[in-house]
Amino acid sequence: MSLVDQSFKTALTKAAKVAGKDAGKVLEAAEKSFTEEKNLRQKAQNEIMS
Amino acid sequence: MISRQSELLSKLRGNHGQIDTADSARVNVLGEADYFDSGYERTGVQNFIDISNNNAVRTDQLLINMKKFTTQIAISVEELSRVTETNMLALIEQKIVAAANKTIESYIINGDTDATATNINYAGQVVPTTYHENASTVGNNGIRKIAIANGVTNGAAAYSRGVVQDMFTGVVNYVNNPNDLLFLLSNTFANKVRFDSNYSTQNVFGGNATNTRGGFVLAPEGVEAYSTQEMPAFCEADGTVISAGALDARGKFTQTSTTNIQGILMHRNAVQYAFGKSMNIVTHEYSDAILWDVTMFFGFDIANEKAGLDKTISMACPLA
Repeated sequence: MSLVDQSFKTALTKAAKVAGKDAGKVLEAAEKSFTEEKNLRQKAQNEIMS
Repeated sequence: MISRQSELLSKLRGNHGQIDTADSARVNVLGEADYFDSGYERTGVQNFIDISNNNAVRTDQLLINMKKFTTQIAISVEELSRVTETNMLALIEQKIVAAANKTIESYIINGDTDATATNINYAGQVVPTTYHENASTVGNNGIRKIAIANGVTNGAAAYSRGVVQDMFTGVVNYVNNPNDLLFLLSNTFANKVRFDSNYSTQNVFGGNATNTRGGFVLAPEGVEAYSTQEMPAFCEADGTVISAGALDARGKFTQTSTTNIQGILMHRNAVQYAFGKSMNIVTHEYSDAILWDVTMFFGFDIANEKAGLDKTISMACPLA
């Protein structure tokens, strides 16, 4: 399931298009960033609970 | 998406996440709990079907009303072109999320629904009509409003470490664990604390640790301190602000006199907050720029002397 919601995804895609960038790479990087953030939060939560 | 970037929200524990509504939602108070009942053998059907009986762990509830915020953010093609694909998210977050964070911080801290001269941001003044039409701080009563109602200490005293310590008596039932508390300070108050020579700071850790007086204090009395520009730098002795100049509808208030400064001690669960419907971003394209039209919904309530709680916020306003 994507962590980047549709509205943000559309904004990123349009920004990439206007700037002549690869929208696929932009979205991939965004997804990776949010996944890393989610994992860090989960890790912090686990440490609190352990 | 917002709370991961927000400095203040990340320090508050009453996060109800996202509630998909533009209206309001009733939520259980996070951080509040009741006792277990003593155990007994459940032998009758009545013990299982009546959850309103003493068998349920009870938490009280608050109503979170969502407020709609909108903004428009323009960004040039040149600026977009200068970042790599990997960094484009960071650029957008910097533009949209940073603005959202400032708005939310000001709303939580300065919120006041009062349209009369007792409004804490327009003390003794005629509140501009446009304030209630436009201001991002209207919608709910925020941390300062509740703190002032709880009673402000040391309005006639000079700043001292004792002024900081006095704030603890205002949240007497919640002082047990320093990690549960947070100092919310104006920049002016924070500077007094940071360079207060009555605190010792440890400037080397490990075997060579030494204590130094007059160092940079990050956690006075063992409690984390967070300072923000959204707290007005100066105030009256009672914590209110007499706003100077034209209305700033976006929630920034400038106190006319510079007599007093303000600091707040609060329980981290005092602010119970949630995001509403997903942030909506509509992109308008131009030949040399794009413009993001952004709408977000955010709501909060202060768990203070309601839902069975005592005072959770305390304020001191010593002389500047």
